[in-house]
Formats: sequence, C-alpha cells, structure tokens
Amino acid sequence: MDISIRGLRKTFGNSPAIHGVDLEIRSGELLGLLGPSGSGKTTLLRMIAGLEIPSAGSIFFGDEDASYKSVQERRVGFVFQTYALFRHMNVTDNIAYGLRVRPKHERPASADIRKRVADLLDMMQLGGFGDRFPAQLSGGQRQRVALARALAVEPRVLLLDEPFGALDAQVRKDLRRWLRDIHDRTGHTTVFVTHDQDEALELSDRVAVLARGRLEQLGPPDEIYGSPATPFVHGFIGEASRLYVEIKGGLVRLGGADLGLPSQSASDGAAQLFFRPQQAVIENHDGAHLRGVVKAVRNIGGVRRVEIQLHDGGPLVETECPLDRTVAAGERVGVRLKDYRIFSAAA
Amino acid sequence: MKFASFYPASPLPGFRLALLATLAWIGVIVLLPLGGVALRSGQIGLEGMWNIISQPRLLSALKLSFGLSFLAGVFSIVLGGFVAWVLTRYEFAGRRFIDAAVDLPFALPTAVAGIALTALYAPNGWIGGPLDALGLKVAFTPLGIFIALVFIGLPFAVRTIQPVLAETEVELEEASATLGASRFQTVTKVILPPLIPAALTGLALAFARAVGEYGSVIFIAGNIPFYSEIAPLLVVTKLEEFDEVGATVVAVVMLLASFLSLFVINLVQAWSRRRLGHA
Repeated sequence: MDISIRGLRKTFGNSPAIHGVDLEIRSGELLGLLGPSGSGKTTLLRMIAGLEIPSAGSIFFGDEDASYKSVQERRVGFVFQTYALFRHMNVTDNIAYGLRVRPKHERPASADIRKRVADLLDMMQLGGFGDRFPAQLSGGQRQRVALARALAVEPRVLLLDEPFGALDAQVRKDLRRWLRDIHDRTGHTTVFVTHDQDEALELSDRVAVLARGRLEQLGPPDEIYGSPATPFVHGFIGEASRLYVEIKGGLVRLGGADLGLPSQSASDGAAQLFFRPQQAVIENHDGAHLRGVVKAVRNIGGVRRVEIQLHDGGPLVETECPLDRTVAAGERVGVRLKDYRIFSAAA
Repeated sequence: MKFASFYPASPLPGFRLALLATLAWIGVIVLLPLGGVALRSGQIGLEGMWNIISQPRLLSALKLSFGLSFLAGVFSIVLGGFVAWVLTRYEFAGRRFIDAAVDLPFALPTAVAGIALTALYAPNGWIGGPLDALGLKVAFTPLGIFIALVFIGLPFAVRTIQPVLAETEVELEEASATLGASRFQTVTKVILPPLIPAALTGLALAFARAVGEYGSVIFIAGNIPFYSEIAPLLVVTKLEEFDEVGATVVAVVMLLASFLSLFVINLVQAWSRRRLGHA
C-alpha cells in the first residue's frame, strides 16, 4: 500500500509540531523516520495511524483519502513504544484480540483464529508462550507479542514507534535483524520511528530525516550518509566536525585566514563546513588546511580519534589517525581535508 | 520446630519488632473485644444461643441487613466507577471540589447523614415529595435504607477504583482502536477487566461498612419489625432492654456472617487477580 502524505501540518495549542510535510511512502518498503526528540516524528506516525488529527494536509492510502478516517477504518498495525499489551490477557488472547473484536460477519472462525495465532507465535519464535501473561515475559518477548498482535489483523501498513527503545543493546541488535527478516518475508509497508541513526541506517530501505517538524531529507541510507542535503542532516547523521566559515570570491576563510580550499560553488557569505573524521588526516607539512593543538587521543576499536583545538578557545575538530603514527596531547599538528561539504548559511 | 524456621531469613531488619507490634495491636484492639463478645454470648450455651438466633424477627433483620448491604455495595461500585471515571478522565471546572466532596460521607457523623437523608426523602421532603406523588415511598422503607447505605458506601468504591483507573495507560485504548475495536469493546474488554480486583476490594469495604452501619440508617429506616428493621438496631434494642447476652449473641452471628462474606469476596478477588496475570 502506497502512502502519500501531502502538506501535513499539526499544531498543538500554539506550538506547531509538524510544519507541512510531504512524503511518499512506497508500497512494501521499510521506511525509517529518524529525528531527534521533539522533531515531530512520533506525531507524524500517529497521524498516519489516525491517533492524531492533522491540522491541515492530507494522507492517502493508495488512492483513498484517509485523512479523516477513524483509526479503526484505517486498518493499520501500530506497535507502541511501551508495547501496550493487555495485561489481563495472555499472549494468545492479546494476539487474537484484533480478530475477535470484528463484527460477526467479518470475524474468522475460531479455528482459523487459533491457526493464525499459532502461525504468528511461530513466526515470532514465541511457540509455547501462548499461555503466558505479559508480566511473565522479557522486554524482547513483549515486543514480539506486540508485533504479532499488530500483524494478526493483516494491516495495510505497519507502524512502529521506537520499536527497540526500551531494550538493551544486545537484544536491540538481534531484534533489528529479525524485524528486517520479518519485513522481507511478509512484505508489509512498514514505517518505524527512531532517534537512533545506526538503527535507521542499518534497517531501512529509505530514511526520512525530520527536524523541528520539517522533512530534511529522504533517501536510501547511503545517500543520507554520503551526501547529506542540509547542515542539520550532516551534523545529525554520523560524526562530523563543523566549522563556521566565510566564503569570499570562491575562497573559504576561517577567522579571516584563507584555508586554501575550493568553495564548492557556495555563494559568498557565511557558510558551514562539515567533514567526517575519516575525511581528515593529520599532516605536519605545507598541505595542511587547518592547524591546532591535540587535546585528546582516543582509541575506538582499531581506529584512533584525535581531537584538535584549532586555536585557544577555538572550535574542536576530530580526525582519524593511523595507529602507527604517534600523536600526543599538546602537540601542534596540521590537518589536511581529503573531502568536506560546504553549506551556505542561506540554504 | 525451632523459632528461627517460623519465618525465612530476610535481609530486611526489624521483622520481630514489627510482627510483635502488629500482633499486639490486632490483639488488644481487634481480637480481644471480639473474643469478649464471643465468650459472653457463649454463657447461655448452644441451645440458648439457638433460641435467640432462630427468632423470626432477628432472621428477618439479618436478611435485610446483609441483603441490602450487598445490593448497596454492588450499586456503590457501579456508581463509584462512574464517579472515578469522570474524576480521572476529564478536566473540568469543579473537578477538585467534587473529588474532595467524595470523602465527605467518611467524615460526617452518621447521625447527621441520617437526619439529612430522612429530611430529603420523607414524604414532605424535597426529593421524597415528588417521589411520593409518583407513588414511590423512600423514607421508612427498605429503599430508604438502601439509599443511606449507598451514601456511606460510595467513597469506598470511588477511592479503590480511582487509582487503578488513573494508571490505565491511554496507549491501551489506542492499541485497542488500531486493532479495530469499537469504543464499547475497548471499554468492556480492555478498560473494565483490570478494574475487577479493585472493584471487589471496594465492594468488600462498602459491604462491611454497610453491614455495621447504624447511625445513618435508623432515622430513614422507620425500624418496622419484619419490614425495615436492621440487625444492628436489634443489638441496641436488646441492650436497652438490659438483655446483654442476647445482644452479644446477635453480634456474634453478625460477626460470623460478615467474616464469611468478606472471606468469599476475598476468594473471588484472589481468583480474579490470578486470572489477570498478577499471579
């Protein structure tokens, strides 16, 4: 089911949460909604589900305008961050709930319901847990029950709010792979919300980056990481150092000094220069674009990160440094940028 | 058996002291007076006791007291559930005022409540008048007793259901809606079942209070034997006739019946808790 979001806005009281978002979700894709807290990603997800009413704009499920349809009519599967399992029902009853509340003429026979629940329990690797109550399950198991419950009603789209938010690191990793697997097997159009960029980049077919209620960029993970469209995305996705520079006559100037770098067709005026740690190398010779003092050296699993302060009280930048080169705190070094991105302040 | 094995070792200190204090309190304040009642009534022997118990007037009063108390308890739970729902679910002007007013029957001297209710529901009262015109008598009938018992039982119902209802997450209702359930299904299948243990606690408290209630009932009851005479009144009547033993016999019967009723409610509650997965 394609989902088309057009000019969607949401205002809570006087504070806008979503400022006009346009987003095309393709049938069968796994889309990650990524953004910091307060970016409006959960609000957007809840509007797709019909749990929030948009202030303006429309949401289409295929060709059907669903903007003002009730939650029940939309037939979405929603997995809540807190799972929202019914505590007084065992796992089987939780999963069967959505089928059993259907009006009589649409309700499957109870044998079919049992079969469907058993299949889902199997798929979720929860065989034998049907009689347990939610209180007797671990976080990861509850998460899988919540997903099974949402899938039981054969939703047109599956929506997950911070699906792994409450789990510990190892379980998160396992469940991530496993969710991808379930998605590939069932082919549901799936949208999930996360503030964790690793999760979004690893899991999604496409990532939508949201900030302050606006869609900053939409694209495959490689594109989001490799060519960020806005300064926000560059700063938010992956690690990056940011310098506030000035462009003048095609030259990049930092604090009045020419860095000797091409301006990448940025127009004259204030701009932001981003580079990732692996795009910079330490160099003592004339090829250096930046100079500063080493503040700290950190080893992170086979790579060394060097933190360099460009001048007293000046900005800190980070580079990677091969293990065979010695660097010590306090040393004066130069930094050569192999690659970087410049965004004009106006952009 | 060594004393140490009487309780499992616990890293929390103070068990002996706390248990001693608990037993002392329960003993002096609860069990000693009740034991005294039982002893005093036992003086006339089983046959003497049976003669008192089997009096039709007492049986009729007991039936009235326990039956009406149970009905009033159930009604309080339903009504209290609505009050708790309104107080936890909605923000409105005067919510805090109503919230505070719920507790008033706890604090009011019961005689005051009884006189006020009687004045209201008497055939010439503000509510009793119009009802009388419709042919419905409230004051000096079992219906009047019922109203007095609901009055004093309601706070128990509200205060036991309210906190549980306040903890019900909105997400549960949202989850139910996304799964296609109607509002009615959400209320009956998702919201109400977890309230059952709390509602039973409220029922037990309201019922227990109603069985022993005296002050607010005797004014509105009219106290007509075989019709609107409650069992606690018989105790007082017997005392006024200096029939101390007779009074204690009635008291013992009421004690046993109350204990049995509460025990049954507790069993149902334990069963429902297990069913709800509290284990």
